[in-house]
Amino acid sequence: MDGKNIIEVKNLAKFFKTGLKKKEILHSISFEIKKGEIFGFLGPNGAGKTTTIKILTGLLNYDSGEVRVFGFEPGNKEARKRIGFLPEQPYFYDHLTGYEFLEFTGELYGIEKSKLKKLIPELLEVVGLKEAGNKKIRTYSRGMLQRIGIANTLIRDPELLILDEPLTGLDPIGRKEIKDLIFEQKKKGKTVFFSSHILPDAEQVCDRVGVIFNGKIIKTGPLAEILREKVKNYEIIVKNVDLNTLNGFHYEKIGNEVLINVPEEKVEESIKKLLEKNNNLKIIRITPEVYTLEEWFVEIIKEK
Amino acid sequence: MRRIFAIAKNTFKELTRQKIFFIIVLFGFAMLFISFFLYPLSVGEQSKIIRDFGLSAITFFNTLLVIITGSALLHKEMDKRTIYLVITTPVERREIIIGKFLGLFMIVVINILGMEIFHQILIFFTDRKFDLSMFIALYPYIFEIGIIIGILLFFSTFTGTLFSAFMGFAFYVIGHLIESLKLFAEVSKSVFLKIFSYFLYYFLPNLEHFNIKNKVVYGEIPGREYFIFSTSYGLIFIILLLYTSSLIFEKKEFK
Repeated sequence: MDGKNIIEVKNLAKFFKTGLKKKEILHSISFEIKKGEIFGFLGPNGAGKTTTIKILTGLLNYDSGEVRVFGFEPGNKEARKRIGFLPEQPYFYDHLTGYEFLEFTGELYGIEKSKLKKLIPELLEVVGLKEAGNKKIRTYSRGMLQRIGIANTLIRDPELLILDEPLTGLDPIGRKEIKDLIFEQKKKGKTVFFSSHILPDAEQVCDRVGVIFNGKIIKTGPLAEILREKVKNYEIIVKNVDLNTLNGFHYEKIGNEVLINVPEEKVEESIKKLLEKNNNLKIIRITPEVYTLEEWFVEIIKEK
Repeated sequence: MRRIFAIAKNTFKELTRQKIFFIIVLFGFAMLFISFFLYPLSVGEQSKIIRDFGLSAITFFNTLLVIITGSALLHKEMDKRTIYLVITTPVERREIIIGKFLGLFMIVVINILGMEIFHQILIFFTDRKFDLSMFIALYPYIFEIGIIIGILLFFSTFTGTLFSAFMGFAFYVIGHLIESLKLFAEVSKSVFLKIFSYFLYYFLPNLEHFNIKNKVVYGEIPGREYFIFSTSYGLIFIILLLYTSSLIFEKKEFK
């Protein structure tokens, strides 16, 4: 295992038995997560995100390939000590209060009771549940459940956070708070692996992404690079242009400048045409208009 | 050890905060109380009736409590997916099994003690004295309860709640009728039934080994050898059941 990689997955395959048939859920997927990065594991529902996460956390076994978490087999006790995990749509012990729940998981991590007394109120404050700490979990809203789940992942100050759909079901404020928490963890040098199908949020948070579709990884890489690969249009901003020469162009007048939208393959030809017809033409800027992650994702899925 | 204790404590809290737990416990105490009003019906046998009825009520309601709550002990965690939060911490899976066992076992032992204390009060009102030999009658029953919890946990690792409860009940009944099974094996003409009956007789726990209620009610307290035997017999079965449950649970996948 490369020392810089926290997670390494090579040719991972997983089958589920349905009756007498075996269905391949993960088709030889490979990716790695580097130390200190926020990695977004993206894909539509049913793509294989949760199955992959369950394998990484030792909840499921795998059929073939190689998986290493901190250099260990997934589910190894040493690896588990260094992971904070938030499952998808988590359920908690609803007979406990938020405080009691964190005390319980803290004890499972072997944290001293005296330390927990100090740590739990701090964590409850970090996730905005200071007032609700003594209320039974069964009275918590969806957002509060997600927050107590996040507090639980942070209780042992883990090196790696694995969050399965942490933003699902949250209102915009809740999503922002969770995203801020993820950033804070990155600042502290932690690694975050999270799955999501809410792409605009993922776009704001991730350093790198892996896109999974029908159990196959169709792309991995730094987000900025991936998005630059496909250019939607070019925006050409010009001055001193005669609007009568812009027939056939998609344009917009902004003050004394004009913004012209041109498809990638017609940029050169369009500029030539404009220069021919406008002697005093001044080109201010030519910028590629890249896809948002969501648009890119939809395009890629359509292609597949 | 601390992790096992944390799981046991959580199981204890979870069960004692359930309505069904209170309903069964309440019925148990109510049944004991009813026995107090039965004694005028049995002239001359009052003391024995209140002792016998009391011990039967204690064992019946605690067995019921264990079968109902114990069969859902692991399933509830799996159905509600709270098990994900526990398994992904540095807890060993066998610690979960042992913790769950201890949590329920502690509750039942406390409940047995509580009911027996109440039983003693009723005996005192009847006889104007306590009868502490009743505690001795209940001592081996604690191991019987341990075995039933072990059986429920064992089946819970690979089957559903209802089937686990059914198997717990079946083992309880067969365990008490096991001597009849030996008789059946002896007289059976079918070789298959003979082998099968002997197999059950030798491999299933004989729960009658833990039943000294009648003897104690009639003043016969078994000797030290009996208590050493029943304790060892109970512990061996409990350890074997928890060990095999842990082995299965260790390999379990959580889809």
